[in-house]
Amino acid sequence: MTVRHHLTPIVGPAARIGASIALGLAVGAIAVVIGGHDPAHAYKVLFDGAFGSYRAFANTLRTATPLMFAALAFAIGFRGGAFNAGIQGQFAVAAFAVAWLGVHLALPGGLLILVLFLAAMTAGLIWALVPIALRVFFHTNELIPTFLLNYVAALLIHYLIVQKFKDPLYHGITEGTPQIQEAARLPQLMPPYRVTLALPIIVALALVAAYVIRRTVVGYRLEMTGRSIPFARYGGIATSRVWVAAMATSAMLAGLAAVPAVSGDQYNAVAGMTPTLMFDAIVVSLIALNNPIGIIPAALFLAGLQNAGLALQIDADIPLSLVTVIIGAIILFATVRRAGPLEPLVVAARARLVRGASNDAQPPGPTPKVPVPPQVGGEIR
Amino acid sequence: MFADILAAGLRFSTTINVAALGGSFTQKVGIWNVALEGLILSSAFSAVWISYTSGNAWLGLAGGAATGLAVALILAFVVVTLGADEIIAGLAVNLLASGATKYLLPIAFGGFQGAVVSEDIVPLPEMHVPGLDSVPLVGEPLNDHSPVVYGGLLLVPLVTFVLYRTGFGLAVRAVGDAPEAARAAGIHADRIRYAAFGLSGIFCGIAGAQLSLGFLSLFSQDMTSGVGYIAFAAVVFGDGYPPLVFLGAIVFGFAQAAVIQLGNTLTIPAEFISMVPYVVAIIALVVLSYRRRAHRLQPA
Repeated sequence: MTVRHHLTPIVGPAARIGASIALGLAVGAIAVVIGGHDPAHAYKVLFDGAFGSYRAFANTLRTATPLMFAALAFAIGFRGGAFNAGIQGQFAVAAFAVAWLGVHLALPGGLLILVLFLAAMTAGLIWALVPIALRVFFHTNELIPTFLLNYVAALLIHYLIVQKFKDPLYHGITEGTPQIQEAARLPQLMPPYRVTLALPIIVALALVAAYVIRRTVVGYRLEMTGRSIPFARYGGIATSRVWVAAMATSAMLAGLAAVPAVSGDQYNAVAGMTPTLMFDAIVVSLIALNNPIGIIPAALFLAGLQNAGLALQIDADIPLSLVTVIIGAIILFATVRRAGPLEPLVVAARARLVRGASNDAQPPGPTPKVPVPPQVGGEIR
Repeated sequence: MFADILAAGLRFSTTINVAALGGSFTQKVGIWNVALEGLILSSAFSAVWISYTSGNAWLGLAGGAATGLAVALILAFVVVTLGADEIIAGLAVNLLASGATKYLLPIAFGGFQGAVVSEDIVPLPEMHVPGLDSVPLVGEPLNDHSPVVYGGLLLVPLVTFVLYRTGFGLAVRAVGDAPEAARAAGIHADRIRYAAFGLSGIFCGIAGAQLSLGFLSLFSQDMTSGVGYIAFAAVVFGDGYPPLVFLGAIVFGFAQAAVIQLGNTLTIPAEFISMVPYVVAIIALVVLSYRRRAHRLQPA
């Protein structure tokens, strides 16, 4: 059901991502001008708000942590051919579970936190069971069911928080649960900022994911299934099983994102928590070309943009929604494979680049410690 | 009670139906157009803005359709000409529409934050169908709605005719079913894809104007709240065949209306009743995909 382009992509992955980020920032600059402000000043405020001080950097790390979990969730699913459009709902359900256990469960510190991680994973997985079962038993494409279940999750969590588990003293924009106990809070690495243990954990998980995809049979099966189910099946891969594993892993990671969000940052769950998490996760995964290691810098970029958006609203009086516009424009161009009217230019530039590269001898440099996975997945569905 | 559900159901169904009929063109041309939501939202915004500034609801309707067309053509450029992934680009359009309408709202309507409710927004007039009131029970609730409601019903046979009885419709379906064969037969596949995107934009534009000027007369942030995805579910449910798409739209629309009307009288919490349309949409998809599977082997 896709428009298939049989030509090799004219625009390479790196150029594509660079160009889409540049276009996104350009669209943002136009929006700033429409709003009657100075784009240069706006982008300076954005940069300072993201990385300009120790405090800004720590806050960017804090915001980036749940985003890395969610983006890895999307990337793993996408590589295995499962489009998890239900990350938002899986996250919401897990956030409630973490908050509830964090308030009620009496366990010694370390054990309690371990339980919270397991509970978040389980909650995320449970929320994805219906779409998984529908795909396996009825061959229903997962896109719409996972997406529509986000609305169901939001309504369910709203009901649970408002009717069953409301903190009458909590004064946010929406209703929230009571604060979780001290023992349920993740240890901080950069106090007083809420950069927590979850950050090294997700970095480690990303490294493991990169290794599995690049070096193991499991990863090979995942890649083949994601690229072409008939081809993978012809090659003897149980594609249905691989697909289920990819979707389940994705849902569990989406659930895990709730641990740094609730137990590491907010200390409670609220109705409609981090409403843009899924789109942000998709954009991070796309910028990173669905490469687990690339997700780390990509998440820092996006988290910085978001934190800085708040600074923009306060310091420059430009609405926070500018960041949504920039992110939307980046995603719009993130998967292009051809240059349209600019095609002759791109082809010429490429030819010059290739000729230049073949004239120079390969410079003897240190081999990177972590092998870079092949840059695939972005365009294959 | 019954009359209220009927009237509200017809109004809800109209937005879904008109947008979904637009989505039928892209569905038949072989593209998953998930951008219906963003197309509806952006045109709902511009329709309200034009009605607010010009005082003419019909101009608002036309402006909504033009906005839908423009946004859809941008999407078509990115998907068809630049070869982007249609689902990712479609989601991006939805995000852009959400962000841009929020960003532009205080700029376009000085002084308003989050929502525009004003006497200056001129709604589409109610249309009185002569003689309809004399039909017992259903006549009165079905009468006196915006013209788009009745126009939307006429679009069902019209789109069916265009898709199945005209050369253009044949070209659309040919490109969707077998792009290579269509190209061999001398059809410009990319032009047909552009046309399908453009039509889906115009239809969603009308649906958006109906939402903000016919059904309500206001604009609020993210006011579509998933109606475009419901419409897309109707498209997938009917696989772009207008009568079936219409059936899906009616089911979803009336489920939503029943939810709102019954919400006050039942003891079930409102949240659970609000889940019904989403659950109905998922069940409908399952029934469809299972049936289709039973009839013929799906390409994997």
